[in-house]
Order: sequence, then structure tokens, then C-alpha cells
Amino acid sequence: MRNIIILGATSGIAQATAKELIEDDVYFHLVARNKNKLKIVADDLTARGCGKVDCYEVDFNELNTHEQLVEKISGELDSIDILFVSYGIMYSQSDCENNVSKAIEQVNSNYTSVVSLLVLFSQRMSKQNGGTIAVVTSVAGDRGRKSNYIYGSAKAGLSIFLEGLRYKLFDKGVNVLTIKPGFVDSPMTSEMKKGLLWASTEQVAQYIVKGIKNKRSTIYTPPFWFLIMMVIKVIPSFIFRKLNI
Amino acid sequence: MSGLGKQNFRSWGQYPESFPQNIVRLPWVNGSLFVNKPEKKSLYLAYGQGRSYGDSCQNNSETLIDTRRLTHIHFFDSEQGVLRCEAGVTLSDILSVIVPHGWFLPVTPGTQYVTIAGAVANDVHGKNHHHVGSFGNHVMQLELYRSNDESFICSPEQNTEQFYSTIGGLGLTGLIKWVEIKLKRIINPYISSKQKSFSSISDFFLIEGEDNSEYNVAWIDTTSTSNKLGRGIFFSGEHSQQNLSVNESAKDSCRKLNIPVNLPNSTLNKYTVKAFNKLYYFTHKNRQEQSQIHYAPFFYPLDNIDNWNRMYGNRGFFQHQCVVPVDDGQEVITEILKLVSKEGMASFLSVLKKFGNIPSVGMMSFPREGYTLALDFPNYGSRTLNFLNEIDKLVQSVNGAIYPAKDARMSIEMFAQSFPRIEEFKKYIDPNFSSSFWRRVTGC
Repeated sequence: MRNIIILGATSGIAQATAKELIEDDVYFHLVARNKNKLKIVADDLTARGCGKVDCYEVDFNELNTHEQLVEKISGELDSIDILFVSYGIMYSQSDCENNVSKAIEQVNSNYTSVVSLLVLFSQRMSKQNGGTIAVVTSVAGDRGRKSNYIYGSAKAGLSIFLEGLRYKLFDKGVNVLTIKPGFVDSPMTSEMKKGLLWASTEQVAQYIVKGIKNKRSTIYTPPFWFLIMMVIKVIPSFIFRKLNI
Repeated sequence: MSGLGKQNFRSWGQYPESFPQNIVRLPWVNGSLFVNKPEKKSLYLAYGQGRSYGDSCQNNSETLIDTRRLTHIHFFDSEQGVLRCEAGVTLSDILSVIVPHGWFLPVTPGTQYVTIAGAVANDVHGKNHHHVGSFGNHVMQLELYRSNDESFICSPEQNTEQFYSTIGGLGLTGLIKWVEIKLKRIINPYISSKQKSFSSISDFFLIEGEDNSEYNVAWIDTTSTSNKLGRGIFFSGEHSQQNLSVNESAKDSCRKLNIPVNLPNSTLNKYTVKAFNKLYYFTHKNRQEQSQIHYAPFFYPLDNIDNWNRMYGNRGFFQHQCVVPVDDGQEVITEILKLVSKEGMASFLSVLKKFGNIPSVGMMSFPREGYTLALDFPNYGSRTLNFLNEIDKLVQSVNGAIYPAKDARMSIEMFAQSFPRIEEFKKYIDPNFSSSFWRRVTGC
């Protein structure tokens, strides 16, 4: 069976991506914080015909449990075919600016805890031949913007970490895919106004699965975000500081 | 939960416009919506795919509960053919899961892009009504979530009144969280289909009586007149009993089209509709042979054109579906067709079918024994509205009924006559649920 581990399995993007990956020989190892939601997702994947599902209830912010967790999930497995990381939190920028504990929690959840888990998992995956580590970061990490720079900085750090990890694991045959979604209509963004640039989790999932299959290194989902971010990155700072983005 | 501002939530007929005050979301079936209710009371209505034609899926100035994230299947028993899934799962999604295991929907409407809760709330019917009744006849149980924050399971065994008021209950009895249905066994995804032309409406009634296929429906050319009045094509089909190898590409044999924006209002006018009807009649007239076709083009021909409703342009269109008792049926249907042709109000796609005598279980279910005719007309304002009222008078004269899922304009009287159990039904409405449709047809 092909082992697919999903960290943050109850997130909108993770659920849609898991659905796209269903095959009867796929063994899902779902990890998330909420037991009831995990069960709903696991039942759904089972009903839709995946081979097997196991669930692990975990708070990713408890860093000292990570070693044990990684051992518990992957200790018995021959190999990990896909490790998909799709968890994170997004507090509003003003909340983080006014409350440093929120800012720290945001950075820890989106960066520190992911680094911790990826270090541990990559130790294992570097000993196998092949496999993919696919991690959801964000276009918000491409440039510091006054409206979202705390979240953005954690995602930027994560993107750099992934780039390094990719080079490190290249010789071992493990592909590291950095996924940069733009605006995605998911539970995480339910408070935000939606417009033309918004994509559904299903659309994003299709690009992710394509990226995994084609062993891409970095993808923007949907791809037009590559162009948008290219423009945003080249705007000189004396203009950028006047923009309200 | 989020406020999306004044976003226009149009229904499939794109008429009327509707601006809900607020949109709330329920991403998890075990989540809560009504615990910390805001001070100001709002009236709620679940919103799925917005495939109802009129205002039954709208809640102008009130709150819509977007169910499009409730898309989990709870279980699928491929031995017994039972499936339980959340409100927002579409029939298309269900089919993609069950068909490979040799199961099919017990009843399916003409589009697979409706949610299962929408199918229950409108007690939808299909081309096999004469054999199996409507969708509600195959619902085993469902969970209802009321605005007092209580959830309970309803079935023919428990909370029966809530069960029978929720089937066909237009979403007014509370939020349907999940639905469990009994599926139908099939051998392969194909339909043995036949078609036969009839040269006038009187010939339809002759052919119809002779046909006992599992599925049947007739397409009517509403632009034909005099002795050709009501000519059309009679389609019938059965699930294929042969052991055919499955060719998954078959369902995509027609390339999928999309209409990205509303076309100009004038696209569908008297002349183009007439040309389309003639063309359709003559291209199908001489195809008599039996063929094996994939279920998708058989049941869902219009699903091949994404957003086909935009052909009518920004003004939108009206659907009109009535049912009239068998005894007076032939006469009234003929009268309606005469009226359509006399007024020059050609309907683009017109469908006629005989409902069988299996009673619908819902208090407010539309399907009942008789002939049902579905017509659609571009919105020409008062001209169309007056004309539809004329049709209603004919329907009313024989104690017929109008289908709420397709309605945006019927009168309070017409509604009351269509649904004699309204007073009984009102007892089960959730006090904090309502819809634009309900306020219109009850005058409150």
C-alpha cells in the first residue's frame, strides 16, 4: 500500500487534496487536533474508496510530543510515499500587533512546529528511496506587506526552509514541493470577503496533486498567482509603502 | 461565520434578485450555529447549489446558511446499497462514488448538480416516478437541526411528523444535516434508451399509455400549431442488463461547454426558440433505434453546458411546472399548449410526463398522480407574468398544482390550492426559518 501522511488533515485544502489522492491501495495517516472532525474526514475517505485510514489526534504546538508522534506514525511503515503538510493558523494582523502572544503563536504554529516535524520526518524519508514532501506555505511569504507580515514572515521562513530541504534531499530521491496558494475559500478564510481572485479548495487540490505527480519544486495555486506575485515583488518600495496592500 | 455584504444570491432562473443580509457557514456537521445567537433575530434558510429556479432558495434581507462545505459522506454500504451523507453533497458526487460499485440513485432530477438536502427539501422527482415515486420515498432517515440548537434524527419510525414535513418542506423545518438513502442496483452505467416521435399532443397520450419503461419523458415542440400542436419526442429507457465493459470516457463524449457570462437578452427570442424546437424535432424524429448510452447524457443532457441559464440573459427566465389530474389532464395540457402557441410565447425546452400513483410521503410534496408539464419562458416582465397567470387559471380549474422549486411568481391562492396540507405543515416550521418564497406565497 502507498502511505500518505497528512498533517492538518481537517483543513479545507487537505481534505480536498486527500479526495484527489484516493485510490484503493492508498493508506491515509491523518493527523489533526480535533478527534470528531478527524473521524468525519476518515469516514468520508473510506466511503469514497481509499484502502485504509488511521487517525492521530495531536496538537502540533506541543513540540515535545513530535518525536513520539513521528515514531508512532512512521515506525512501522516501509516507506512514506507522500507527506503532506497543510496546517496553520491565520490571525488578523491587528490582533497580532496588539497581542504579542498571538503573534508568537502564529509564528510557532506556521513555522516552528512545521520545521520540527519536517526535520524529524526527513530523517526517516532520507533513508528511503523516493517519496514526496509537499507543504502548503502561502503567497503571503513572497513579500512583506503591512496588512499581513507576521503570518507572511512565518510562511516566508518556511518557504526558505523547504528550498534548503529540497537541495538536501535531492540526492536521496525525495522531492520537496512548496505550495503557494493565493486566496482560497476555506474555513481559515471564512471571515474574509470573497472576490474574483478566490479559488476553491477543490481547484487548489487539483494543482497540488499535479505538482506532486510531476515532481515540481514550487507551485502557485492557481498558477496565475505567479504573475501577480511577480508584479508585487518588483514594485519599488517607495511606491509599495504607499499602497494599501 | 461571515458577513459577505450585499452579495446578490440569484437562483437558477436569475429572477428575482435577492440580497441576503448575512451568510453563515457550517463547515462541520457537528458544529453549532445557533448557540451564541446575535441579539437581532434573523430568519434562516439553508442554501446549497442554488439550483431552484425561483425564490424558494432565497432569503432576501435575512440569513442564508451556506451548506456547500457539508460535503462528507458518512458511510456507503456497498453490500446493502445504503448511503449516508451530509446536506451539501451533490448527486453528481454521490454517483461518482456509487456507480463503480453497481448502485444508482433511486430517483434523480434532470440535473446532477443539486445537493442531497435540496433533493429532499423539494422532494424532487425523475423520469421513473411512475414506478418508484419521488426522492422522499427512498429516504431512510435524516438529521434535522433546529434553531433552538437541538438536533434529532427523523425517519418513518421516529419523529415521523418532522420527517414527513421536512421531505418537500422547502427547507423551512430546520437545517437538514445529513440524509440516508436506499440506492438502486444496476449492472453497468448504461441506459438502453429508445425514442419515438409523435406528431401531435393527442398522439402523446396514446404512446404514453403503452409505454411501461422504467424511465420515460417527452419533449414537446411548443412552437408547432394546429394539427401539429404538441408534437414531440418520447424518450424511454431502462438500466442496461447486459454485461458491458465500462468506458469511462463515454459520459464525456460530448465536450463540456460553459457559458461564462450572461448572453444578451435577445439571444433566446421567438425566432431562435422556434428554430431550435424545429431543429430538435427533426433531428430526433427519425432516430427510432434502441441504443446503449451512458447515464449522464440520458439523465442530464443540460449538465453538459455549464451555466446554461445564462442563455436567457441578465433578465432571467421563468420556469412553470404544473401537475394536473389524469382525468382532465389531456384536455388541460392541450389547452395550455394552445395558449402558449396563441400568445407566441415559445418555450425553449418543454417537458411532459405522467406521474404514477405512488403517493409522495411529504406533507408538502409536489409530485402526485397526473400529467406534469414543465415550460420555460424568458422574462419579458408583466407580459410573461400575465401569461403565466393565465396558465395557472387552467391548472386551477382542475385542482392542479404548481411546483415551488420552479416558481417565482404564483399567487397566494394558487399556492394554497396546490398544497392543501399547509395548515398542518405550519406546525412543523422552525420559527426562525423562512424563505423569500414562503413569505411571498403566504403573504407574511
